[in-house]
Order: sequence, then structure tokens, then C-alpha cells
Amino acid sequence: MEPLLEITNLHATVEGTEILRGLDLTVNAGEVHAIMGPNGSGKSTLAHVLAGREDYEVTDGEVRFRGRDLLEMEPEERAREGVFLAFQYPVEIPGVNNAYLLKAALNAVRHARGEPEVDAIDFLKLVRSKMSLMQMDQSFLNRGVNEGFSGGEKKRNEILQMAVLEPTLCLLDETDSGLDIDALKVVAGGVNSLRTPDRAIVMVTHYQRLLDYIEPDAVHVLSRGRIVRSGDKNLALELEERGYDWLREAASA
Amino acid sequence: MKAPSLDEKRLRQAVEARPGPDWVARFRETNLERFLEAGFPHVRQEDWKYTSLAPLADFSDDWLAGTAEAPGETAERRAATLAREVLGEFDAHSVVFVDGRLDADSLPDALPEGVSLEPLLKTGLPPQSAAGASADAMTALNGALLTDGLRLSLDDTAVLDRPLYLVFVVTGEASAVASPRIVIEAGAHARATIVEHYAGEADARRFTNVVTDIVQHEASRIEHFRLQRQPAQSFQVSRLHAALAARARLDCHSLDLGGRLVRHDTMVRLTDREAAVSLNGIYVTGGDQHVDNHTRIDHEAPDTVSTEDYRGVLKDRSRAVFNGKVIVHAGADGTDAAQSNRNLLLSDKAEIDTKPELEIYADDVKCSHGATVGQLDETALFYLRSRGIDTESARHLLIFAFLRELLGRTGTPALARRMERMLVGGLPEFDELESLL
Repeated sequence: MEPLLEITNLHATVEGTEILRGLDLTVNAGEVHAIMGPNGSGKSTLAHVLAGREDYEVTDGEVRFRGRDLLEMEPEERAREGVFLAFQYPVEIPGVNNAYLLKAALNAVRHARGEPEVDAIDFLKLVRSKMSLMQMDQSFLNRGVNEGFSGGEKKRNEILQMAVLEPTLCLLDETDSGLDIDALKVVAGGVNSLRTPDRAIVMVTHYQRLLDYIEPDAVHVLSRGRIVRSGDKNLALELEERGYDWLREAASA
Repeated sequence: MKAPSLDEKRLRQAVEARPGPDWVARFRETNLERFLEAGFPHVRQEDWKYTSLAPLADFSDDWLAGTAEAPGETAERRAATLAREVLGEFDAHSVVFVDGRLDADSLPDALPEGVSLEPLLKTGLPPQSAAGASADAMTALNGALLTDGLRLSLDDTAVLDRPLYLVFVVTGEASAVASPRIVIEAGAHARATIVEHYAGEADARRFTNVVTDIVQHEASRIEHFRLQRQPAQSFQVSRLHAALAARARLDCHSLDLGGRLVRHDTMVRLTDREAAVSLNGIYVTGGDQHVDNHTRIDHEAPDTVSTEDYRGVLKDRSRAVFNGKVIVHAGADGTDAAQSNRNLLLSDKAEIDTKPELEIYADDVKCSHGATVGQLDETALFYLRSRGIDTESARHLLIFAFLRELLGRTGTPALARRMERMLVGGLPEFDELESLL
């Protein structure tokens, strides 16, 4: 079976500095992967490169998503093809309300799938059920996108969007940062609801605690722009105990 | 550079040719002298540095020639249709001005108790006036060439139940300057919402020079809207003079979409304790448009509050000016003045000149100001694109959102919706945002 996501020898720079230096990663449908690593190892860069952020320049390597060249696609095209990035720092957009963004995004995805625009009643029904999953008040719909939301509310809102759009590849960039334990459980619940055989989830995280609630099939350690070790969930526990230094040393040895 | 000027003889003839009762003749005469004293504005004057009225002077033969005669019958009918279109189904007391002349038939007959609305030429000016002694040249020119006007008076505690909606239509027919004056006096604790809406026939090349004069007594509240979508070749100069007594509150919202050359001066005096004013302005310019907002707020008493938020989107070769003067007079301790002007420049050739001017002569004063000129936020743009929204739509959405945020401040949701619709309807880029409303 063709992998859902296949990254080969990926190199990327930001403002001339090389952040990713030959990264390889293969993710199959139905899998949950955790990418861990110290600050500055390139975790967030990877997430943004996959989503198509233009500040990052890919200098070498290849990324195939469902057999297609992902790097050739515009960010909006990637989204329509089923790639979703849950931002570490979701952007506040006063003046655009959540309902509008959700609907516009959903219709963009549906259009790409050859489906008709969602009708107003079905849309509300869908959104309401996902909001209750995320334990969000209905009033959020009429507020500006992330406007005045607390850190936890922003993260929930990201997962809400993800749950509504039902992407094939979910990228979570430090989704656990800034969450208290209750919010973390809610967010994890939302993510777990999306675990299906035809979908993959790639989580970028600094800490192991997210993995207590979203159990990964594979854990990778990123250091200096490359994956230096891969394993199962036990690797995360080992990292929790020993920190990252031993791996860094191993990598440079 | 030769300063633009008006031919004095023609100007006098124009003033004398205007009909009206004796007091108006005297009023025009006084204002004519005042105007001649001040002279036609030119760019060597600090207040007019970025806005040249030379194009106005150039076609003054046209706008001084007409005697403000009634437009022809067919033009009148067209204007009436246009005014009806502007109003739509909006629930308001409406009054129509055609080419600066009050359509007396349009005056509403059922007003709440304590509220009177009369043609200015019939009632004359109230003893108290905010614009009365102004040395401003264009205020004087409005008085000198006064076409008509309206006087709204609210007794103490009177409440205008629905907005007063003034529709100003210019036709392509006549040529004389439209020079109306709106005089509003709100008694203590009175409340009213007033809309001035400027529109016209697409081919009209007209000059509108309007003065709004607002006097607010203690604890009165006025919300004032100026919605401007003049024809593409038209000129508008407007002055809003307001004087607020203790605890009075004035909230102004303006939307500028049309016109070739537009200049607004909003001059507010906070004369007694805890008077408060807010000015919210939106301008969207394209082509060769030029829109200038000058504001001047005089904090004359303690604990007075002013907030200003002007936002613009500039395209093509258009130009906008914002100049916000705040004067905190001696004794006006505890003043709180905040000013912000934010601009999105969507073209290399567009230009914005923005300038705060603060003069502070009191203690314990909180004054802030900020101006930004920029492009769209790339992070926000990426965020929307990462949700599947195409680049162009995402851009339009962000532009619209930037402006729309201001509409959230209106106290009259129906007017906020109307302004949203004007924004969407007035700009081809925003067509696809229809479903947002």
C-alpha cells in the first residue's frame, strides 16, 4: 500500500539558515506519529513546510502526499487535498467570525471533493455536534476568529476546525502547549475522534504528556533537522526520563 | 505656485442671487466677508498641506454660476427615485435634499414629543451654535452660499424614536454648489441618531460643501453617521462642528467610498466635565480618489474623553490624509485621549499622509496615538489559505475584516449592517463576501 505521507531527504531553510537537514519520514494511513525534540530542532519548521508556509524555503528533497508532489501545491490546495495544520499560535482575525471561516473552509474542501456546498441547516448541525465534542459554547460561532480567546480556547478552536473539515493528514504543532490538564483532555478527545483507518495524525510536541492521552504508533526524535531515532511510545517515556542530551550526543557522534 | 482663488465678483453675484428671507441674506453677507477674509484654502496653509482645492477653483465658473434653482422636473423625478433606492426599507424619519435643496414634501410629520424638525430657512439659526463664529474658510463659504438646511431641536429628555436619515442626492443636471447646513441642538439628556447619506447620479460632477452644527447639552447623546458615496467625479467638503456640555456623548461614524476629492473636518469641543466623543472613520479609495480626514478635538474641561479610530484601504493611485489634532487646554486635567489611524496600502502608487498633533497644557493627562501603514498580515493570510481559502479571497476577507471591525462599535446595529452592505456592494472585490453578511 502506498504511504499517505512520504518525506525523503528534506532540506529547508529560514532566512538562509538551514533548519531541516535531510529528514526522512514515512507515515501510513491509520497511524499516529509523534515528532519530539528539543527547541530549535526543526519540529515546527517541519509542520509549516508541510502546510506550505512560504517563509520556509525547501532546498532539497521530496514530499509525496497520497502519491502526489506536496511541495508543488499552494497552501490552499494542500488544505483542499486533505492536509490540515493545527497552529501552535492560532491567528486572531477580528472582523471574520468563526462560523464564516468554518463554512468557507468546509465549502472549499467539499468543492475540491466534488461535493455540493453545505446547506445552512446541515452546517449548523455538524458544527454544533463538533462544538459539544470540544466543549465549546455556541457563542464562539459568532465571535471573531480567535478574537480574545484564551490560549486553551484557541487550541480547542483549531481542533474544532479539524473535526469539521475531516482532513486526511492532521498536523498538530505543539497543540499541548499552554493547556491545563482539563483542556488537554478535551483536545485529546477531539483528536482521538479523528483516528480512523484512512487518516493519519502527525503531532509535533516537546513534552511527553500529550502522548498519555493520544497514544502514538510511532515516536521520532528530531535533532538538528534530522530524525535521529525512531521507536514506539516507550521512546517517549525514555525521553521524559533522560532528556534529549544523550540523543544529541549520539547524533553528533 | 499661484494660490487658487475664486473670482470675487462672481462669488458676490452668486451670493446675492440666492433667494431667502432677510436674515439669510444678512447671514450670507456676514459669511461672505468672513470667507474673503480667510481666503480660499491653499496648500501653503498647514491644514491644507496635503489637499489642494485647486481642482475645485478650476471649475468654480460652473458651481458659482448656478443660482441653486430647482432641478428640472425629470431630474427631480430621477433624484426622488435615487433617494428611495438609497433609503430602501430602512426604518427611519427620512428627509431628502436634492442638489443641496431641501425637499420640503419629504419632511416627516409624525415626530415624538419634544422633537422638532424644520427647514432652516424658515426657523433661522438657534442662538447657540458650534459653527457660528468659526474662522474656517469653508464653513464661511457654506454660509455665504447657503442653499438650504435643516434644524433639528430636541427638548430636554426628548428621544428621537428612530434615526433621522438625511439623503443628499446630487443630479447631473444642475451645476451650482450644494451648500446645505444641518443644525442640531440636543437638550439635556436628549437622545438621537442622525444619518447623513451622500449619493448622486453617476455622471454628476458636483461640489457639495456641507456644514453640520451640533450643540449638545448636559448628558445628551447623539450618534452621527456620515455615509458618503458621491459620484466618481464629484467633490465634497464637509465640516462637522460640535460643542458638548457636561457628560454629553457624541459618537460619529463615517464611511467614505466615493467622490473624486473629499475633505472632512470634524471639530469637537468638550466644554465641560466628562463630555465624551468617539470618531470612527472608514475610507476605501481607488483610482485617482483623494480623501482627507482632519479632526480637531478640544478638551476644555476635566475628565473629558476622546477616542478616534480611522482605518483606510488605499488602492491604485489614490491618496488619503489623516490629521488628528488634540488640544488639551489648561485645567482639563484627567483628560483621556486616544487616537489611532491604520492603513492598508494595496498599491505601490497609493499614498497616505498621516499625522497626529497633540498640544497638552494640563496635568494628569492620558494621551495616546498611533498610526500604521502596511500591507496585509502574512501570517493571517497563510492561516486562511491553510484552511483552503484561495489567496485572493483570503486577501479580500482580511481587508474587509480590517474595516468591519470598526462597525462593531456602532450603537445602531441596523446601521452597522447597512454600512457592511455598502462596503460589500461598493467594491467588486467584496462581491464574494456577500454570504458573510
